[in-house]
Amino acid sequence: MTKIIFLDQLGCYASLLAASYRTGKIGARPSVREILGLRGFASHRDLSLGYSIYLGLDSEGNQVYTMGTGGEVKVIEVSASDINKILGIRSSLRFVDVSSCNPVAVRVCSYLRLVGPLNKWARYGAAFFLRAAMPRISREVERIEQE
Amino acid sequence: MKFIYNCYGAAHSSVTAAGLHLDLLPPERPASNQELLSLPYYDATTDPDHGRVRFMGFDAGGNEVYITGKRNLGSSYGKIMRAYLRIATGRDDQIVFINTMPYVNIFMVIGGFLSRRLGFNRLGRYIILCGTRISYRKFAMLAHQVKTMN
Repeated sequence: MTKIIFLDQLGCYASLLAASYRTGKIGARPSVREILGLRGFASHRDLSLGYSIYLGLDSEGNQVYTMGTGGEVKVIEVSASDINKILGIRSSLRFVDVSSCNPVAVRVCSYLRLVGPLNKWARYGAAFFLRAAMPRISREVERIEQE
Repeated sequence: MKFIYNCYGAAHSSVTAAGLHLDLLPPERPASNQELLSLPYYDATTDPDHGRVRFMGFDAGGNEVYITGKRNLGSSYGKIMRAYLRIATGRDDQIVFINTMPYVNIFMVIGGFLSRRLGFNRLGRYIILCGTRISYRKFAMLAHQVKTMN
């Protein structure tokens, strides 16, 4: 069993859609309403990193997670690999970086999400723009199979 | 227990704090230039090394001490890695992550940039060594706190 961790800036935007697609919670062309209905979507309370959500098992029995790692995905991948060696972690882990699938508009929405009166509009806007980015997200997820 | 001291590039502040933790540097007086420069990895790491977790040695209690460079992650690095450990192992108490960035002063930032980024080693190193000595007592206090918390 592999643990697949989808990474993006905050762990609840593109990474959540990728993980949801991987676990079959949404299809390749979800509606805005379906995205808004995903557990954990745009659920950050601030901009702090390290936020992680467990989405469940995919069709192959792999555990699927999301994690927010800011803009330093490569650093985290390298550190995690070294820590695996230090602690002798043998379980199979796989990082999938989908941070580039978050359009600039989604990043703006993630900031506006913290502004009280704009909270709901920002969440809706993020879902709207991520719906447009979904073909790219699904390609990243399907690439896991090919590799 | 395993300790990972982390700073921007794992070249100066984390190496100094880890050196103090391992008794490679004297805690009671500022270290000399020679003592600092003789530390492993001091002013030696480069961009591709960022994220690498490097072993510095065993402390008096037999704990393993490491350093790493986390670029701009700040205090989030510890949070992210603890989240990762919870996913990978189900617990996050095997490693203590120590952020040395709060004790880095402007001289260390400028010197580090000149030496590591622009390649002006002599000038950069001179400024870094001055900066390290200014914050030396703070690094010594930090290392002492980490050692005594174990």
